[in-house]
Amino acid sequence: CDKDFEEINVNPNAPADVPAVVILPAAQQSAVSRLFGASLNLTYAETWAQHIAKIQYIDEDRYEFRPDAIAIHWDSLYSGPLYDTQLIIQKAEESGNQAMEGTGRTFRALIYQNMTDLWGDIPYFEALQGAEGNMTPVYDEQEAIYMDLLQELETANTLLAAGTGTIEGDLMYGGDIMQWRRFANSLRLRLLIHMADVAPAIAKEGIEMITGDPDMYPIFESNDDNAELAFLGAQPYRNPWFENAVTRDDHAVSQTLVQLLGAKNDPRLTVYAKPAAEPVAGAGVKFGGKTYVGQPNGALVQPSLPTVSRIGDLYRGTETQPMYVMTYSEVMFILAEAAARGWDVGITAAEAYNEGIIASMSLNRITDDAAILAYLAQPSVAYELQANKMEAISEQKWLALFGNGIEAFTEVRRTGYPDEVVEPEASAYPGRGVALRFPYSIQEQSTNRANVTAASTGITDFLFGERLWWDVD
Amino acid sequence: QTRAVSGQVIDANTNLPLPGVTVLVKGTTIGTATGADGTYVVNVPEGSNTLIYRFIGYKNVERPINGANAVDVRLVVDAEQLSEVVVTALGIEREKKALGYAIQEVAGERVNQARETNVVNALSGKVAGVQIVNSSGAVGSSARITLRGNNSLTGDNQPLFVVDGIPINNSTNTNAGYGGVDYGNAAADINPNDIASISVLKGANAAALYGSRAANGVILITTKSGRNAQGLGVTLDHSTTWESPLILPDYQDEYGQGYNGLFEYVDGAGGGVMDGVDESWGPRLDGAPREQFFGVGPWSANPNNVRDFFQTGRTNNTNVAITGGTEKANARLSLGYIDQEGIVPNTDLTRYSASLNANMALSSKLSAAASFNYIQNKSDNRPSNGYSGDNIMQQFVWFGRQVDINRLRDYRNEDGTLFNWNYNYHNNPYFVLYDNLNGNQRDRLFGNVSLKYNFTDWLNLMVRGGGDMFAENRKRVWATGTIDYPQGRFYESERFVSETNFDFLFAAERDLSEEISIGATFGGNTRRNNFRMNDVLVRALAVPGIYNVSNAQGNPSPSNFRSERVVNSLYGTATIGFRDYLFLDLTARNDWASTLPIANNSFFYPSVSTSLVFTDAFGIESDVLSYGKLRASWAQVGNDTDPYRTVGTFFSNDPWDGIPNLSYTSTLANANLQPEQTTSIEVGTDLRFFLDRAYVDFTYYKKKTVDQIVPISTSGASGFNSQIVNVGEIGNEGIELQVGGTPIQTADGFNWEVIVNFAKNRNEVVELTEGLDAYQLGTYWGLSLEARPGETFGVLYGTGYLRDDDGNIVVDAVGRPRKDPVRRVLGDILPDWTGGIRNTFSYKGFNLSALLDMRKGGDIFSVTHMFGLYAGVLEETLQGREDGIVVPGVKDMEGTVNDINVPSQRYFQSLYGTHEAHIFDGSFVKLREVTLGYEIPQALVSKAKLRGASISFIGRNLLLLHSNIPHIDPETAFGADIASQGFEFGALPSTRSYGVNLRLTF
Repeated sequence: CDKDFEEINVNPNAPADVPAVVILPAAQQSAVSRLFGASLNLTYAETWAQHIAKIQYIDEDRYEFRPDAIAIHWDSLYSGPLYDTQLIIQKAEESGNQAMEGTGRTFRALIYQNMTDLWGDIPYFEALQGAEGNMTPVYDEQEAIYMDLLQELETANTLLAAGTGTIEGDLMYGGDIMQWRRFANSLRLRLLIHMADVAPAIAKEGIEMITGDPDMYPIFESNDDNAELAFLGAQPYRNPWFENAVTRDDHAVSQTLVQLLGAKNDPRLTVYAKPAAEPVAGAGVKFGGKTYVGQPNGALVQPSLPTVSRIGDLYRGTETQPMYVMTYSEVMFILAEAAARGWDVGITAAEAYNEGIIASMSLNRITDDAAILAYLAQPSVAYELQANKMEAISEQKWLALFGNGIEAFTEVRRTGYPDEVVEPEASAYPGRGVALRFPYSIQEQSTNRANVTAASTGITDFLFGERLWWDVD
Repeated sequence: QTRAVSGQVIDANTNLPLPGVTVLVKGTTIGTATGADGTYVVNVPEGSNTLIYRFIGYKNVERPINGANAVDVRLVVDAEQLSEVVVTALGIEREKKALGYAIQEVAGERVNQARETNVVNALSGKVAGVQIVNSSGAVGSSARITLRGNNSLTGDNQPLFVVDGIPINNSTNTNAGYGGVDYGNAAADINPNDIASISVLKGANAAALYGSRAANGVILITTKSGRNAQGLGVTLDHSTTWESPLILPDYQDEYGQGYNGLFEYVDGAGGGVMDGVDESWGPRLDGAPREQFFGVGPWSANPNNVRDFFQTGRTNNTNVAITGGTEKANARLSLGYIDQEGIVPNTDLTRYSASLNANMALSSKLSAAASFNYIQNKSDNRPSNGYSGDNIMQQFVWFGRQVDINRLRDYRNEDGTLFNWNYNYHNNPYFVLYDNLNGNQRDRLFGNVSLKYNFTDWLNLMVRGGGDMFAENRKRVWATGTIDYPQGRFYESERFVSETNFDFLFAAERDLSEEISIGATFGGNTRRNNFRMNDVLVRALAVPGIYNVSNAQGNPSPSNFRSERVVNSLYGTATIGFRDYLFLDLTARNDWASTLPIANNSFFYPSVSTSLVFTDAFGIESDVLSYGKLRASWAQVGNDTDPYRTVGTFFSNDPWDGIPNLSYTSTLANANLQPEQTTSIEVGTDLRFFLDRAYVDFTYYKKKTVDQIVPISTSGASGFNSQIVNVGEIGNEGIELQVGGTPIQTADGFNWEVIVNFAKNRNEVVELTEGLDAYQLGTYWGLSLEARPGETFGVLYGTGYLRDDDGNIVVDAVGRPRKDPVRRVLGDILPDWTGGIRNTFSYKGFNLSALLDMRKGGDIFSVTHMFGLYAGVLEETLQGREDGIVVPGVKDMEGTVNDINVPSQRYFQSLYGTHEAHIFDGSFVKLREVTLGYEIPQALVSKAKLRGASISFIGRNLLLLHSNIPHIDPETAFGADIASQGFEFGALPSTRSYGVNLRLTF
């Protein structure tokens, strides 16, 4: 009575197994689209980092987050690109493809780094083990996650350097092994600099080791090395900020950003922002004869839309604009900070600082060398003239990180700069200051309650209370 | 040559004469009706020897004349619930007294009395223990029916529909809380005009023979046949009903569009002061001239702007049935046409149906029967629902209260551009309805052919083949210029759904002695389900208005899917009867299911039931207790699962520049699934009093379902968002009570009959699985519908107010209620009890019937309330507009009394996400049906050469007599599946309908 049943129950619609070469592009496009897209990045991280401010549906900007949206990001990052990347690593291990394994480990570290910098303690060592029966992974201390990620990136660099195997299906670097090595080591620098206050010895040792041995630890050397995903410009793979702008006009540039750029006479103002169409007299800053008006974050009242500056066309109106996962300029600011702390990174703080600014200008299509040099010489910019070097470096890094909300939000919390980033005007949690973290997924209260409850110790009003590990007050 | 035969007809109970009884000469069209004194005279032609007596509410009687000149007859009341023979599982007709489980029959006339076109809705309030939720007032919208609570964590928990022995698909869309189209529940294709009777097999006990899918009960529909046809008969039914919204939200009409009291129109897209805002926190509607979307006009209220948007819906329902027959063969042919216009402009539904039901004796031993139904169900446009810009109700929540809807009817400017009150978030609602169409067409065929061979007078074999299949096209288009899809868009899918069943059944029945009778059956079934779907999404159009793949801009996303499932079964039954008052039934069935792992794919389940007519057994003869029966049964039903759940697979994303990219499923498969099992016990009694003038039917049941196969939500951190597992135990325990009777019955023909249905069900999640705190059935806006161990099935779990130890609401620094970061149970969706009361009054051909339907309990999360407060459109938001609000509560956990005045807008908007503020008790009392019918006297009818004529006035959902939830109908949900229950947003208002029905019999 069960003739042919085995055959009947084989799913004809989808394969039970596929090679890593077709999984990698899925992991890359889904991770980058989510981490740098229009919700997690533009509406939350970029807004909470105060590059962006909302002008319609201001809720998230007032920290009135949408629990559903947060839950989807949390679940989808784990079950989507993280799980797929784990499969890539397993398959590469089985076939002995070290290049592919190194790529997988680097990419997985990238996703975890972004997640732990948003949420702090997250499931890590026990995560992604559902197929082995662990459906309720414990949340690990962020410190332990950081230490393991450093190790993972060391392993990845070693695997990539071994020279066996090839990287296929790679949308980011087209299979270039050397580029993946640069990325792995640059990402390691990002992790290390985050630890500069909380674990300075490890940070110093790691950064000095990497910068001290460029053959063993190549890092980004120019914008050509940037980790990015260039969108195709055709649906459904258009730049997510562009895609969002097709139907929504909810985001302006933040007043914090415009004021800072304006104060420095920064030409990136014209790239990050559009002039306000009908500015209120006396509002905003003037640049090149035009008026740019930033929107205060978390305003109580919506502005009249023509009175505020929207996001510039390069970021908001370009279907093919890449999403920058990590850039050369960020690496330079990492080295500037390390050097400023007195660590030996083979470059002075001033050199790295200037190089970081120049790289950012270049990435933003500002090609007038004379103008850039003039900018660097300004009293508000010139490194030597800055009384507070950390503040100067952090501010410039924050300006260069436009588009990468998660890293910008991390740096604001870690460094406390720019100190213009303050509590949104109509915060849902008045008096609590700037958010210290992303809220945990409410779904976890149903699906992983004991562990999320343990991890939530000290957290108050979802976003406050306990600071992240690297956020040394 | 004819001769006159006379006589008198009297009521067997009251011994009073019965006027208006139809007296027919069998085999002819000759007949008459009794007069006021119950007497009649009829001319009987030569060769005829039998008279038939028919009267509504009484059993038909046939009497031989045998040369007599006078024939007196006593008629016995036939409350249909008491009818002796009922249709049970597999279509086997059984004496009701022999059954050890509850079964409730509803006569076809009762189903069709109020001319409801969806058979599920037509059962509302008519059967004890049935819960029906209609999702909205859209044309052809779906209705959900459950019997005795929910057994399953997933699936729809709805009973199996069987028509003339063949299971019928009753699938619904998955829920559409965030937007979609309700294409109706598939059983709504059944033409109510064709229904002879419905047997409701409420539990596993009655339905075990149907196997797996019967765990939720069975709705067994028997269609009308030509069986009792006397020559050629034609019945014509036509009804026209009109529909209007039953309930609309209570809006405020004192403040118009805007924000913080500000509004200055420039372009409706944020160019002016707050003119892109779709909220009504603007200036007071003072009537002063003001620039608006149409130019300068008075800033004044339009209290009926939403009501004016709706039109009167109309339903024409016409049916012609022809019956004919001889002793050897008979047939019934029925043609139906339903044509509906919705209350929403430019929405419609048409349904053509044709059915043929034929029976034929091929020889003295062999007979054949066949039934075929063809239905075409077609809509040019169905309204969208859920939280989506496609749902026109959404923009009445996000709305400028001053907007005069009539100014929007011409939705294009002269240059073709779109005209609207807001260009920021909303499409003109008329543009949505006239240009963004959601059409579908379903062509469906179901039926069966059976042969029955009588080996001897006690043994026969039936073989039957049948199926239900439909092809359906669905197409949704968005015109160029739609706010969410400026370049236009369309989605089209072609579906093919089929189920075929082949059965054989040996049946034997013998009296072993005067005292003992036995019966036995042995049968087998093979069932095959197929589903195929091809669809395509085009995200942008090259040329506006052409919704063809060849007109795609960019890459279209096509996909296809097919699935197959086979279940084979063998089953048998045995029945032993003792002295016609004690009965014992045994059943056993084994299924083999293709969807389970090979090692676990066979499962066996038995049942046993017994019935004792104690009034007969103990010789009780009383005028008070005229009949008494006790029944008890125990049954198990096994169940399989959906196809392809044992092995995980990769799914394809759209190719990246031609590069395939696949992701692993986020649902963890399970290679060790076990069949599910429901075990149910049931005891009950049927009692009749005062010579059957009153009766009580009571049932107590308790059942549990274990090892359910469900995809449970899991922490994404496991690598999977859900996991297919055998999980837990769900218990249901409850009572069903039906009480009825004829309190008044007078000599001159006045009759009052009353039927009360009542049911109480406790549906508990006994356990889930180790380490699992909750199973999420559905989740919207951060509120989830969950099964939690120890709680009622389907609790609403979410964010409440932060409260101090004394329960006071704690406010924040600006005086708004704070949210409790720890989520908790805020309500549950299941009713405490449901009930219905039907009163029927009849007098001389007049018949007045009214049905009250009621529900106690069952909570609903009203998203209309949440966003209606946020947007300042609801009446409540007038509170504190000028002076602000001091929320009763405390400022901190120490209990300092709150004295902070918060502006009204900030207060109401802060309630977003505080689910507790928007959960309401869903109790209601509704006047569900009222019908007033008149049977035109036979004397008049005969002159018109008709056999019968009647006219009736009908009304459905006439009044919402009681409700605890503001603004909406408590009977609402996002869709017909379990995940949609307990949630409401922007449902099209349910409809009140009234109309007239005419029936002519030739």
